[in-house]
Amino acid sequence: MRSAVGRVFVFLLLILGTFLWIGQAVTALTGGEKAAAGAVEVSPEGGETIFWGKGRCFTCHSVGDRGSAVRGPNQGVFGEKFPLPIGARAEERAKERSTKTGQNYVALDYLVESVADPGAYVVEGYKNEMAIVYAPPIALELKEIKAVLAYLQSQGGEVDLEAIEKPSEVSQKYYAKMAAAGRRGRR
Amino acid sequence: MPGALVFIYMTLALIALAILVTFSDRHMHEFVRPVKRFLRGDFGRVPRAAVLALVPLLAGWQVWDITAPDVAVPAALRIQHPSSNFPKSFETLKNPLANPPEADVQAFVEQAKAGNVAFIAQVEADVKRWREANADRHGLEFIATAPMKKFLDALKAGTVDPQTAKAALVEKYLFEGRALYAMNCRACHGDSTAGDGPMADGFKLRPINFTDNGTIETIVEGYTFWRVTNGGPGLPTEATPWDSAMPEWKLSLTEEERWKIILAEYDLAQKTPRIPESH
Amino acid sequence: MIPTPRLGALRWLPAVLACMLLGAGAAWALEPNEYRQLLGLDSRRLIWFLAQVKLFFAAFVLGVPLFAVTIEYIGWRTNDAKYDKLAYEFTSLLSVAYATTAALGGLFAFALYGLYPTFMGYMTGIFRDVMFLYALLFFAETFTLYLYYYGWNWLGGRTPFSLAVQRLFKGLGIAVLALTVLFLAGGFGPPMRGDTRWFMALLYLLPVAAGLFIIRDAKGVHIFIGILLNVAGTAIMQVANSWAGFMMSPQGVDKEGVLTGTVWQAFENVLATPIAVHRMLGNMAFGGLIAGAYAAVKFIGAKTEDEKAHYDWMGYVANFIAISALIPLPFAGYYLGREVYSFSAVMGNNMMGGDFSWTFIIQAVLVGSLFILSNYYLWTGMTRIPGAERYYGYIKYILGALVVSFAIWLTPHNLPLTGTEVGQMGGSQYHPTLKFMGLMPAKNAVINLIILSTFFSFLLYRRGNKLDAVAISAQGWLARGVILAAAAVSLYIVGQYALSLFLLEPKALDLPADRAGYFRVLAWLLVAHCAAAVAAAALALADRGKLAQNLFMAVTAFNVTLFLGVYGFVVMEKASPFLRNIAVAQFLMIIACLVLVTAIDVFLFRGAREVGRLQWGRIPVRSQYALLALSFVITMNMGLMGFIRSGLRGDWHIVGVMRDTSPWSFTPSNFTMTQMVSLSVLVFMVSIAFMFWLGGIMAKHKSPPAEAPAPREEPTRA
Repeated sequence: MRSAVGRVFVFLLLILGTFLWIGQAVTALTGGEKAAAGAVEVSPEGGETIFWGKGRCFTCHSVGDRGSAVRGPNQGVFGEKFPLPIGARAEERAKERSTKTGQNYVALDYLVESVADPGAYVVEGYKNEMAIVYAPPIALELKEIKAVLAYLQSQGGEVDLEAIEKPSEVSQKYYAKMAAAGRRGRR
Repeated sequence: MPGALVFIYMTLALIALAILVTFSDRHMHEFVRPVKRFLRGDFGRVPRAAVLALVPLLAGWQVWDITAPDVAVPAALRIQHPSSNFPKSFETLKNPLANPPEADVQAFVEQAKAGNVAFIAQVEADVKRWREANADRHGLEFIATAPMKKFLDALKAGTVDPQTAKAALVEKYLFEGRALYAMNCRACHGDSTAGDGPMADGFKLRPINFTDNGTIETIVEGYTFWRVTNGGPGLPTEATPWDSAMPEWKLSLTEEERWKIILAEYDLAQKTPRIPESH
Repeated sequence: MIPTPRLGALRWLPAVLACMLLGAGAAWALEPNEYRQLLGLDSRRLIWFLAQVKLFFAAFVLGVPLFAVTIEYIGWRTNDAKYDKLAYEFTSLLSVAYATTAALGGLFAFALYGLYPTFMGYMTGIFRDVMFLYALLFFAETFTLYLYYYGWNWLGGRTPFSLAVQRLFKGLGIAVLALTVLFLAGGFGPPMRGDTRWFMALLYLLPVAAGLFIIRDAKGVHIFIGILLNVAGTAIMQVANSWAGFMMSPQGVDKEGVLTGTVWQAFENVLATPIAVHRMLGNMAFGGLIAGAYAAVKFIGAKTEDEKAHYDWMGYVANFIAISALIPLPFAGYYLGREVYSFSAVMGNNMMGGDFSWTFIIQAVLVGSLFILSNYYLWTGMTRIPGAERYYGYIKYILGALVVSFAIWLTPHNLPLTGTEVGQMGGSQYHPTLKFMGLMPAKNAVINLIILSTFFSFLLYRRGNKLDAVAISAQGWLARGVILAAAAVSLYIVGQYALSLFLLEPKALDLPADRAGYFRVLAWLLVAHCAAAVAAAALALADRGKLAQNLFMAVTAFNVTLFLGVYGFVVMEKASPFLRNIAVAQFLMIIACLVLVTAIDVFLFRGAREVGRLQWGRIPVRSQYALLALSFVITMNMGLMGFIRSGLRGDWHIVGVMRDTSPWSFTPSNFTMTQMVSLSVLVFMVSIAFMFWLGGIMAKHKSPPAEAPAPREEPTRA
């Protein structure tokens, strides 16, 4: 009797193994294990997951030679048009923005504005067509957007998590707007 | 034939063989006996040696084939109707133009009587040109379809009933929808709506063929509307890695224009949208 | 016997539930969701695991009494002690598992209330009254179960009661039957959907009526208690099920979660009954197969020929029960799927074509293996039947049909392709010809053929050792009556649908009027099927039973698979909303075929001369592994389908009412699913093996009710 149970147990493991293999194969086939869309930390790594996942930024933006989308500006170093990655580029753009609006923009403010109000200062040669990422269907939360900001900063710029949490007044205004939108549909 | 299917079919064939051989002890013996005899060398030593050498070689070749790096694009699978972020409120949406409200029909009849039916700006120029060339005819006659003719005849006779008028109004919408389709969608989805427009070949994922039964017919109108509205950027993560190149039409078309296109799209493809199941 | 600790395990459960219910109100819903963790574990996975293991046990505990009572009844009517002993053996498996189920239920409830307090608070607020009922039903179940199990010998007497008492019970039975009819007609009870009304009438009232009616001695009372046990078990299942249904398709509450309707509405939500029906059949198949696995393990470890014979027979009976439940299961699944679509087409699309499309392909693999394994078991079983060699030739054709069907069944519409393959197919993601196999008409055609082939295998098995068919005309009025009645049932099932198709207006399906022709073709096909049924019944009565069966099965196979398989595509092209009616027609024709052909078969070989006796125990040991594989596969399948059912809610606790804002509110991958399910299956199998072992120890110290010699010869088949 004991050996019968043993044999049957091995048989069970065999069948479960096959089942696991099918599950593994199917998952590999259908795009692999997707990162949990749940909580992300405000960090370049967290932002990277959002950028290449839930946030769907990658459908329009590439980063250097990662990704193939050309609809929006590349966020890395790419060709003649983008000699600087976004982290460094943002400083240049912020300066231009300051002179235009008369307000004092720092690099982070430019990034925040570009996400919160994509039409405010469109890169030349591109259309004003970026989706509102804090509204459905993408519906990122403020925390997730902060993570993406950190990721963008990490592309050739200086990651300043403290500043991301406590930005200047320009950004504060946008934060409030995005936070309000992110609360919808949740208790 | 796609590799994934070959694998499935071959596995099944193997299983079937195993079942046939093992279901009774007699069959099992019949199957195993010659194999055993062969291994014992009853059919000669040379063939045995050849086979015994060949089997590991074959296995080795397979292993090498699987592990050797090559440049093939990895297999990928696209979710057909990604919908995890599809808002539930869209689900029961009905095309408002397929069944225009009484007031719109009434207004349309009034306009038709006065001979100044308004068209969307995109076709205005063409309509005007036609009217100037055919000043003696009614301004709607250039939509030469049966329901419209019936309506115009009734209009002349002064016997317009709401049904006829409604059908004619839908014809007008269809006309506008076809025009909008030609302007916005045709390049990819093609004249025949078969996903074979002039630009279709340029995409890694071909534009969808609306005349295929597995496409727009299997989804509710609200889903079509959502897809048109939000385009490729509006799709959830599971739609990767083959991303749709469909633009986000809400940026350049009004809601009414989008519905007109959908109306015309189903009409051109000769399909009906899925009807939501009732309880 | 150690009943005390087991009862002890149960006693606290209702009390705990009751405590939790107090003070919980709908106001919970308006507070932000709170989530907690235990030892830093992923709460969702923990709940998933507990719920799954608990469900396995519960399904077993609910499934086994269904057929234990049936077998006991057969033993009682045929006066065959062998069946009585078998029923007792099944029940003894049950009694050990029951306490564990209850304990797991308590653990599960604790975990839910502890880890998802806001959500559970809200649910309790809505279902407060129902939860009390649930706790009370547990007492009923416990009481009847122990009375049934421990009262086996005590209520084993066959001395008839006095006529007066018998008449009293008969009168009561008739009274309850009248109530059943009244209830079905809508005479009393709250307003409810048709399916719920039928569910409650057929599974609660009717069995009680039948149970009362048949009482004529102490054994009859025992069977009646068994029926009550099943009624209590089914009610528990239905109640708990309504909560799961509510989470998927809430009713009676508004978008804020405030109860606007009645608790009854919330209880009887759209998906509650479809899931309950599906679960009933699933539980029966599952219970049967787990009992079959028990027999298989015992067979593999058997020392003597007698033991082998007994467990071979037990495994066969268990498998027979499981297959009977398995055959209608796809239809119950179709109905459930339809209702999911009716509640939300997006949920439906997400199920069949979205997040879960590949989970469904894995499910198709499992379901296909279930059918192939069952056939394999039947075929290996034929080797213990002298004379069955005559039918071996058919096996390769059945196998061919099965494998081709299975291949089509598995071919996805949406293929995984490499870039090169996409290029070869002209940039399209669909294969030019094989894409058709991925669509609904093809799938429906082949699953019906799989069912029909399995049924054919079963017929071959039944006639394995029979020499000549017996003349039906020589069998008196019973044979003729039953065959005619079966023919009438077939005619009614198919005929009424044909009639409704003749009357169906295209407008009802939002189709243009010129599509009516497509309805009529199907209607005429159904009429042809009715004609075949009449012809088959006539042939059977004229002693051409085999011809009758062949004719009717051939017509059914042609109509369902070939004709409608192809015609389905035509309809899909021209009148796609009508496709659903085709699926229903296929189902009805299959059912009609099963009913009539089985009825003919029962009498065709009744008392026929035999080549030899069935040699129980003389079966390749491989068959027992098939039996085991069946039980493993169905267990995995249950886990998988549970994942789909639950996952359909997406990131909602209660669809449209309460969002899941926890970090775990995403749909896990299929690999994660297989891992979780495998773990649950492993834990369940190991613990049930342990429990059976415990039961075995107990049995050694106590003799079973009626010592019957192990069945070496063929018993009248179940």
